[in-house]
Amino acid sequence: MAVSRDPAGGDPAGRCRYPRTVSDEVPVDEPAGDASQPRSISTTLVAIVVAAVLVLGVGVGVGLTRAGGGDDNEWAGVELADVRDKPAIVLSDTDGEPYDLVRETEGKLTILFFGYTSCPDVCPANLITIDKALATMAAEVRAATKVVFVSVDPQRDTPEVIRSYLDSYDREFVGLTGTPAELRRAQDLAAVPEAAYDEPDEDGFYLVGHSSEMIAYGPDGRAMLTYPFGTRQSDWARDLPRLARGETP
Amino acid sequence: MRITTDWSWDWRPYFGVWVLVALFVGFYALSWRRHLRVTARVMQPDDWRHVRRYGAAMVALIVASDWPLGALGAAYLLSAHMTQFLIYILAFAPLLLLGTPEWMARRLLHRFRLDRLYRFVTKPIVAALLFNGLLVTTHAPVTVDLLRGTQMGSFVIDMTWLTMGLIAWSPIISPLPEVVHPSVPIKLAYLFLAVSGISVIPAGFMVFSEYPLYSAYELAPRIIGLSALDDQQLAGAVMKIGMVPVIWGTMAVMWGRWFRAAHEAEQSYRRPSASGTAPQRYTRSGS
Repeated sequence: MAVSRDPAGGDPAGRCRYPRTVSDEVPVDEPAGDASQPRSISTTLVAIVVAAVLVLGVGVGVGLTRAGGGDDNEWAGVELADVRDKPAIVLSDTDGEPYDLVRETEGKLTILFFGYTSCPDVCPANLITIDKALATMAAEVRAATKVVFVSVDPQRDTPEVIRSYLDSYDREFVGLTGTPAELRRAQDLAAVPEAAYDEPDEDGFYLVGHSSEMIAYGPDGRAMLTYPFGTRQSDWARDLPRLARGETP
Repeated sequence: MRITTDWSWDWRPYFGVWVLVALFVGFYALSWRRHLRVTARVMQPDDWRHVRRYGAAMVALIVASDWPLGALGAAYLLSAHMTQFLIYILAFAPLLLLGTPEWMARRLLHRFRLDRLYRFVTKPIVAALLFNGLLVTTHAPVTVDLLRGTQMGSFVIDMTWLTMGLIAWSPIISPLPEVVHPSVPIKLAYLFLAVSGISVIPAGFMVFSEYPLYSAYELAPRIIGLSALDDQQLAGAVMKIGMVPVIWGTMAVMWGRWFRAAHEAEQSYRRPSASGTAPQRYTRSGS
């Protein structure tokens, strides 16, 4: 057994009970760190790998500091091929009153989103992301922004259900609904794919396939950017103030 | 962009984890069986201690990898991901090392021709560099977002952490005595700086970042009302504080034993001999 240079040994007695030369065909161990032997290829390779890991680690560490940052001049949103005008639609809000989208949101940055309250994934993610982003914005940006959620599931999403759903995110979010015909027209004018409805299961539950993008209409009522599912809080934080000021790509 | 389905508390074991555990246990049991047959021995109390530690390592592996922690950490909560990391590094890896007897470790390393590589990567400096480089790499947003999106990617991350843990702890408790560093002060410094020190950097980013760092967790369905940022800050706190009990506890025990041994050595040196002449020096058994 090797003699420890340190009285504590650092290694409790009894861990090496079997002499190295006696065991079930275990070869005699080679002395470690024999400097007279040439460095093997595997050792050199490991040294290279260690250095690479270190460099990579430093690199991604620096990258961590830039997470969510990005170039200030770039837009996080996806630029639309054609400019879209805010759809001239009148739907019902959560108080049951008519809501003229163009008139009610005139002069404001309007984020329009089609979804439904029973959506298991896309809608909650989209809404909570923009909600959290808005919470970090200056008061004037929040005041200049309107998030409008249009439910494409009129069968389940009554005004009360929509209001309760949106209040779990932000009481300022506007919820709209309408007849199936009105909703189809609204989606058509907003140039988003029309919702598709699955067959209900035995419990009556069904999924609705719907557009996952959030369309940003500037204060001038025109949209040049859309924000797909996966847009992050940091993305919104970068774009919302600029959109609210009326900047465009 | 991957869409994660809503979380369900319905029990859903991961078949792959159980297969992995079965392989670990099967290999261990067969190795012991062969060893006892070849050496014509029976299990001794020390052997059973190894077995118990290895069993505890398997429990840690199941807890860290199987439902619910494995599922939560893979796609829903960063704090769960961080808890997995700590279990791999602070429980599974050291218990696996402590549960592996020297003869088994030598056979395994020799069989796969890993002897030299193992000795090289477990030198304290190399181990420290590897551990921390991989720590930062596996916690980088690009890595997490890329790999956590698939089962295979999650498996790669988990196995990387496992390997990191084995490398990190080897200078302290390797089954091979020649790998364990002989100097207690060096080991204390290694544990403090290399294993627990650098981790505060990514933990700090998680705690103090204004926005969520990882899209994989930011866009996942929320669970128990925890927002993505709150979850991230919790993960950073878990990472920072979680290491303290095990690392500092280990350091305290090592330091205590070292101090006691040094004190006893000094006392034995000062003790007068039976004949009343010069003090008789006593040395530890084994030399």
